[in-house]
Amino acid sequence: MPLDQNAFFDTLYHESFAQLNLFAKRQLLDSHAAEELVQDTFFTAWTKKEALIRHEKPRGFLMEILKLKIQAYRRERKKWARFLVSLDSDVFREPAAPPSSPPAIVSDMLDAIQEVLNEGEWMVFQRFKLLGLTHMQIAEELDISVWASQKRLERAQQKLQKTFGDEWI
Amino acid sequence: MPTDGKTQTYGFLEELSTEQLLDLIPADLEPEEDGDDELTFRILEVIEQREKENPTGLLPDVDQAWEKFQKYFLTPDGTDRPLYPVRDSDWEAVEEPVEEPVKRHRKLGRPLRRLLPLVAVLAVAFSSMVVAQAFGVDVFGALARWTEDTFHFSEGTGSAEAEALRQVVQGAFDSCGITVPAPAWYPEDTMLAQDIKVSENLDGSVVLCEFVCGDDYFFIEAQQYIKTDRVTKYTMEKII
Repeated sequence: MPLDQNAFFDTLYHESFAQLNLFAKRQLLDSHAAEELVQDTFFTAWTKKEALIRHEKPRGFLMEILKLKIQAYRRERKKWARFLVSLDSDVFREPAAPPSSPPAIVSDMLDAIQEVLNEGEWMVFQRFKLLGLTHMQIAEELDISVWASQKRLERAQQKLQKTFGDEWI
Repeated sequence: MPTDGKTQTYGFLEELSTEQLLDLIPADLEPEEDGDDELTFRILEVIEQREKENPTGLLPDVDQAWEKFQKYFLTPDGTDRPLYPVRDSDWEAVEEPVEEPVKRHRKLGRPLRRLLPLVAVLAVAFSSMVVAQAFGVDVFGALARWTEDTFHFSEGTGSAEAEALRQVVQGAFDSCGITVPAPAWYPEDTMLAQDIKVSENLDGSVVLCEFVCGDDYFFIEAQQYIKTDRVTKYTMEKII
């Protein structure tokens, strides 16, 4: 990024981060999730720096991106929560679910998942999906980048999809 | 005292507590109401300024956040794909700001509706006030108090909540050049039924504020005519 664009981004970041963070915390009631989404907003802005610089309201641009990310985050969390809640109902399903489906009881499901994933994938999966940590928190704990955390989670999802088929979200 | 329109419109924010300000920020995002961004940014600015003067832990450490951003996001293994991608269909509206045409009908932000108990009576009392004013009674300089049985004027100032509400309604009036002062007294437990509506037509500007108070419904409608020959000349009766 050219020096002037660097300076522009740096200034915009320092001027806007606190307010966007306040806004996100208000939406999510979770300071870690709020921080991650705001950081991801700035990352997106970083990748769209030309649009950002020519935008007549850069702060408004950031706010719109943040709102969309908050919606995306909420959709993802809800989907996972619904999936977990739906598992127990499978216990009463007849006939018995095919062997490739996820186990009906949550604890059995977690055991089955651990058998499929390697250690790195399981650590990220457990923290992100079960403990509700953000990629940033995972990255800080495991001393990796957020992208490494994201990729491990994606690999985990792909493996679980392949193992459990359409039953897996 | 600054006299720009925005200061007058949002000056009441300074009188609210931080908790009240946070409550004004909508908790559920609705893309079609993004016109609230101006108010949202003003709210955030007020909170940020307060926190800088008297920190309570609401604000993050921005320098630390910047370090984390560089350490965990701007890394060699990253691609251009973010953690929470924005859908392609959403990008156009974000990247290409649409220059808003002069709106023929616009609403003031939903957060304003949350604000406080509001006044009622006024659509009814308002027309009476105009007539009374014409007879030399300083209606607008006093507070109008209306109960079920009586109607009278009294001296004194309203509560802080009423004052904040007055500024909200006044802001609506100011936004389209209506020069009539907004009512200053509001009974408790009245709510805005919906967003304040501001519209413009060939005759002038109209501001409509609709309220509910329990099972009752009231509205304030202020019309500013461009020319006197547009004014309908008839006597308005008090509705009982």
